[in-house]
Amino acid sequence: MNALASRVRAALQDERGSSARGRAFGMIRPKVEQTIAGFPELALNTRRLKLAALDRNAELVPLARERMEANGMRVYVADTAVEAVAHVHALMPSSGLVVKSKSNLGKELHLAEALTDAGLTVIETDLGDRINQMAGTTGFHVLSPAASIDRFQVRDLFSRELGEELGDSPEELVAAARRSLRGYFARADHGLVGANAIAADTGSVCLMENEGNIRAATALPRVVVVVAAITKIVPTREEAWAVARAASVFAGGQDFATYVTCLSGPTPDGGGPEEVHVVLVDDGRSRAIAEGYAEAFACINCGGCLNFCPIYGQIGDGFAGKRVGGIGALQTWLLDGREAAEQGGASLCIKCGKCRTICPVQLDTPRLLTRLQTEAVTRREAPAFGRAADRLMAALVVHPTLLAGFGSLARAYARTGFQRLVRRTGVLRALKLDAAERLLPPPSTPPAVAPSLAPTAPERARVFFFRGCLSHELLGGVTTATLDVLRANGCRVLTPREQVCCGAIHEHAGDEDAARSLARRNIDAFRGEELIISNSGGCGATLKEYATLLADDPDYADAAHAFAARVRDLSEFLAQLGPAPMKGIHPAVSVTYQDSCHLSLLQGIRDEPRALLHAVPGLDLREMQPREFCCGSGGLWGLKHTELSARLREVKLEDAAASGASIIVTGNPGCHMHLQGGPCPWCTWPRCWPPHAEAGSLDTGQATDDGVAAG
Amino acid sequence: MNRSAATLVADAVASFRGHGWQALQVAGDAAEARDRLLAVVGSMESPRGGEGVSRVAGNRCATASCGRRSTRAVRARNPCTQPRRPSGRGCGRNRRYCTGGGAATALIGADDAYAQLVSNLPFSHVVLAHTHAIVPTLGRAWVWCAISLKEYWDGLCLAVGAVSGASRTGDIEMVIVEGMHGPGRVHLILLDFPAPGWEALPPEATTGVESAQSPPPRGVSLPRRPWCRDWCGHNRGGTGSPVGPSLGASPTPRPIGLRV
Repeated sequence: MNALASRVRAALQDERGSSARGRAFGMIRPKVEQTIAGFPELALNTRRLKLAALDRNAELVPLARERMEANGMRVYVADTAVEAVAHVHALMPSSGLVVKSKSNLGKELHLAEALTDAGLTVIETDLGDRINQMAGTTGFHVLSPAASIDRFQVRDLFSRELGEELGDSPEELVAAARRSLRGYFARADHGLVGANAIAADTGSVCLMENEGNIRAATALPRVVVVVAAITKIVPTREEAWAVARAASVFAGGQDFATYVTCLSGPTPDGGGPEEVHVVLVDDGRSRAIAEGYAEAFACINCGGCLNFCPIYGQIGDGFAGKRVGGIGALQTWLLDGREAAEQGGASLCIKCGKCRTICPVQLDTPRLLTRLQTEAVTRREAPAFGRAADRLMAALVVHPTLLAGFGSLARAYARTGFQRLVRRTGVLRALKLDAAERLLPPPSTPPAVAPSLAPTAPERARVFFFRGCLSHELLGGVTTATLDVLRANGCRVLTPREQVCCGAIHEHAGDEDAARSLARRNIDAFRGEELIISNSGGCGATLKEYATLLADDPDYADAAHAFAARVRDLSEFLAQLGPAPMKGIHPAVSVTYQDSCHLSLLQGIRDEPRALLHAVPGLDLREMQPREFCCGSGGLWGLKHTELSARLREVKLEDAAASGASIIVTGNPGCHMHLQGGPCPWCTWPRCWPPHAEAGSLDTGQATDDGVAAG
Repeated sequence: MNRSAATLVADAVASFRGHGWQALQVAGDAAEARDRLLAVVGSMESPRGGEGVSRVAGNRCATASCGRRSTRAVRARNPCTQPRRPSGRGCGRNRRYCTGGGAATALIGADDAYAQLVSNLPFSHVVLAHTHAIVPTLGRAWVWCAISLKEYWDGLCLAVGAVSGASRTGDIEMVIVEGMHGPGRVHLILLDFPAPGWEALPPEATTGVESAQSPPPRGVSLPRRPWCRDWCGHNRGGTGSPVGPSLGASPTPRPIGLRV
């Protein structure tokens, strides 16, 4: 087991940390979502602001430097991390006390450790960081770095620090921390802080916080050292202010942080610092911007993405190397290379896209990570499919004959009883194939789809049907149901035999050549004007991206654009068409709808499937909470990170069971198979196979079909 | 005070209260304001056992001291305040530019660190502001601050800070506790009477209502406005009056628009 896998396993077994994160995120998420809703333009404006500033970064760095120096600050631009640490070290005395505030760059540079090694006493003044420092632990989460440490541990730490017996109420502990840290503030001669933004026009350093430690660390010590990345520079002080506001809203769901401080220079005669030093750190950022990855550094380090990341929610700082989370892996890849990013957990990003929806700059981390992977594959620095199982899967889906053979074998494996026998032997576990095998759904023979099927109701439309590859072979019942629903709604269904896999697997793995090749074949297969209906959220999202995928192909760019514009998800299409009246289900059943990430987050289709379900008489739709959280399928990701994938599935099944529904409805075959492979939440047995009489998961096509057919 | 201004003030008071401030609007005159301030200060609580903080940045700054037996107040030396004999209990006071607009933020610009320290060190913090310093949005507050600073501070203020409530932390089991490093209680006293010289301001400034005119772009030379110099008694050029209105003096009364 490699280091990353060990780290993930250890994090999954850390029940205390998991519980603390669950408690923390359970409070933060609704608050942030509610606050964000009140600022509909903020993310777009902040994105524009930051990207425009990064475009001018080379010009803004010297301008900011000039203004800051004019204000009396001393500025140093460090080309490398080593230079930055050395310069900060040179600014400090050989011994003494340094009060330090929270700084992501400081953590990245291991500044506190370096100064401590040099003989200084560095005191973290943010309470969470201070708790971690006293406990000897690390915490990367921006808002709540000590989320994994409970009050009893905190009580013991501060009791030891202050030499008195403290109670365990948070109020008493905070008061104790205040007393303890005041003493350090009073004695410290040097303060070390980061920056949320730097205004080039006035040479101001803008800092936001809730505790007040940064304000104290910038006003009380004789010497203040600011360490900030060059990408924090924005043109004006108003824009720096706007960045602080965006960070407040998206990080903690606040209108505005409790304190925002703009420090523009030393104020020796005014009770403030005699010296203010600013260390601007490049360390590869200007190179990455020049290479077209400016967006990766538009991040304002609010940590909002971590609050909603399904992976971070489960393993916390197990999803961190030098930096934390998907954005941390992305920046590490750009600044320190692919191997460092892999060690930091780049492959752990499931690419669900949740982070983008709650990012103050709408940073598309999954897309940028995929782009980096593609470039690495193109340069032959990394294989697209590193494992044999992945290569087999990638080969199967592009050859219809092989895929049909695989489907037949899978059905025979289940129907002959061989599956039960193999499972009993434990050989699957020994070969580490148990997780993959569990994804096989109950055998369902795919229908022989005629190239053209007439509607069973008065004709209202002619549509193409994209049947998919694996979903068609393994979930034949869903294909049948989809065709029946379309025909019952008056559609003449055209299903070209020449269609192939959408290419999602290849695209995600960085094998863009293969993905483009498949895209061209599909474009040729679906020539015409008719809409193209997909019953798979994953395939639909990929088909809609063909325009981007083939944008540089002179022969196919226009056709790809037209093709993508014709793609509709089944629920999307039916909502536009107006579904035919459906008769009721008897007896009534309760269902819950699981938002597929590809459908809801990438395609924005949320209401249409629900509207269809509401339209089925006798079907009671009960929402699970939270909505729009990844179930852990992730295609090949789930086969690579099996334990993490299974944990996410457990959480999703518990949420589904808590809704009171007896059936899970989903719009993506990957989610369908993944959820069906988990332990049945409605049974007392650890595993229910065949599934519980009423439990299972159907895709929206199946459910809708049930509604139609039941009458 | 016209209707929109009264609405703005009422909204601001409600917003500040909604964000955990003890917001109070004082009509009448400076004498009444002084009495109300003393009442607020007298009712302040202090941290149990006192904090024993007696040193702030060596010998370079005022002393902030909190505790049952130690009752000193600190006051920021910013453009809008005057030196004053300390009184009260563990409280810091200063005048600021205030905003409503949902954010409930007080904004101050100064050329020293005292304002930052006053808003940071004591356990209770009182913000004094005239109602005509209220603006509807954060952006507007910033513009006003920048305008005055541009003219009177050579375009730059070395320390600008915003306060939106009590210092807080949720680092222990996500339980929000106030009073981590900074004040655990924040009070806003809005003075609903004009400061001398305020009449010289354009209408949109005295009402604080968003003007249809966009704020002046950076670099544009602004007309010199006497109000800040007269009101604050501060001018970097040294031509202003050395003594501005203090709470002990009674400025010319003006009709009161709203009492909360």
